[in-house]
Amino acid sequence: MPLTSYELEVNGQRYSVETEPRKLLSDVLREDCGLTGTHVGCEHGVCGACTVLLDGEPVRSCLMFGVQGAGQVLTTIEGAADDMNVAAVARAFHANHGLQCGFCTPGLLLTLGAYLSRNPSAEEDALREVLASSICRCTGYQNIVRATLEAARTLDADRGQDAP
Amino acid sequence: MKPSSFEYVCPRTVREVVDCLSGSDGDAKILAGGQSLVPMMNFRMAAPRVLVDINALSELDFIDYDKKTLSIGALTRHATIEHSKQIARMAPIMTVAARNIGHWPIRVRGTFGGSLAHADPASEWPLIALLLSARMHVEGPHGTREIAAEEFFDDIFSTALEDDELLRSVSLRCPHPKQGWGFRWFSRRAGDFSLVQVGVLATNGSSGCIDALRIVIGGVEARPIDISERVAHRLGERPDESWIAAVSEDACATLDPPDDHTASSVYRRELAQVLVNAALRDAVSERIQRGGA
Repeated sequence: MPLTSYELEVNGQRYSVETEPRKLLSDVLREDCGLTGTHVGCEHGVCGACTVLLDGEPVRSCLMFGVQGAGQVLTTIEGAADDMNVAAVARAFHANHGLQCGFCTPGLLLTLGAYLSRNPSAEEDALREVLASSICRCTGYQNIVRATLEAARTLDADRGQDAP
Repeated sequence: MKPSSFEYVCPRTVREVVDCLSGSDGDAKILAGGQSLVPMMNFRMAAPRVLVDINALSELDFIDYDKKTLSIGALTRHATIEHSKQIARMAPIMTVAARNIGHWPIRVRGTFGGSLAHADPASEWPLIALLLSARMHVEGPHGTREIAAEEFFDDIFSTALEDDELLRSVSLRCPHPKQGWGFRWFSRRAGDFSLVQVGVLATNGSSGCIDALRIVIGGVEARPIDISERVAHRLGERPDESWIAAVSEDACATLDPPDDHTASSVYRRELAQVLVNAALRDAVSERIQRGGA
């Protein structure tokens, strides 16, 4: 099938790619952009391992075609380290053993970071609902919940300190 | 698995979309949110020769309203409906329904029109469309037409839309101030499709009796069903405990859901009755009527 050329903006960097239209965004990010932090699990939208940010909002990259990413602002886990919300969640995951194999982790960090930036005072019930969007086969979720609550508390406290 | 090859088109106008569809001999599919279509393509359960991406048609992403009617563009994302202040004010049943759709990342891309056109019997919007007497505004090669919700949903994944037609927007009748509402569902895991869903609108008469009742059940047949007539004989009564129990029983007595790998027929029927009971309770409670949380 004929290839199509397009440009992707990922983590502030431009990538010129040439793929078949049917190539999924998840595969384009991994293979054509070399950004392998985005993982491919179920390829039908339920596991969350492929989650990236599109204009700052979480989306399933396995349910978009690479061509659809043209003209959008994309963020993968590689570009999220500087985000204070994602960084706080990552530190809490590290401290609370919130990952084992790490396959689900990038999707979780991006989704939680995006959620906490919009809902700084999120309560446990709401956070558990957000966590339900990622399937983790390793941890049994207890440490993920613990880490998430700690991150939320830390971010809330930091915000309190920054307030005039 | 990876999807099979297709010709990708990204039109800029409704006219172009319809021309693409007409010129594809029935072998084109519209790509809106992609949250239902792309999984099917990844499984190779769907393999359109032409994929018409309508995400550039921003004029189809809108929520308009007047005193009694909501008008929603087909490309409006579930998340937009979920967070809409107008909808929370005029039809909060839709806010609750929207929050139940999958998970946040699904709601960011998935669309109102896409969900209606896909017609999965376990999805929320077909039930809501039927409950709120929706009218679908459709564009085809010969012009526009309007399809009432009762005529729109045909079978599992099947609607009255022709191969060369685009659903462009939907008008819905907002519940009026005297109508209480309830929307209840059950799924085994958060974010899964519901096994059964129920929507109720109950109109309060002046004497504290229920003057009108509308009940729609989803997930027990190939499309959502309006079973209001089965409980019409219970109108004009006060909505006490025994009334709620009796109406729930009458509503579901003749349901005959299919047996499948997720639930038996008996289970679905009993679940429907439990959910009708809960939704009725919501609809007649004063809290809901006053617009409280």
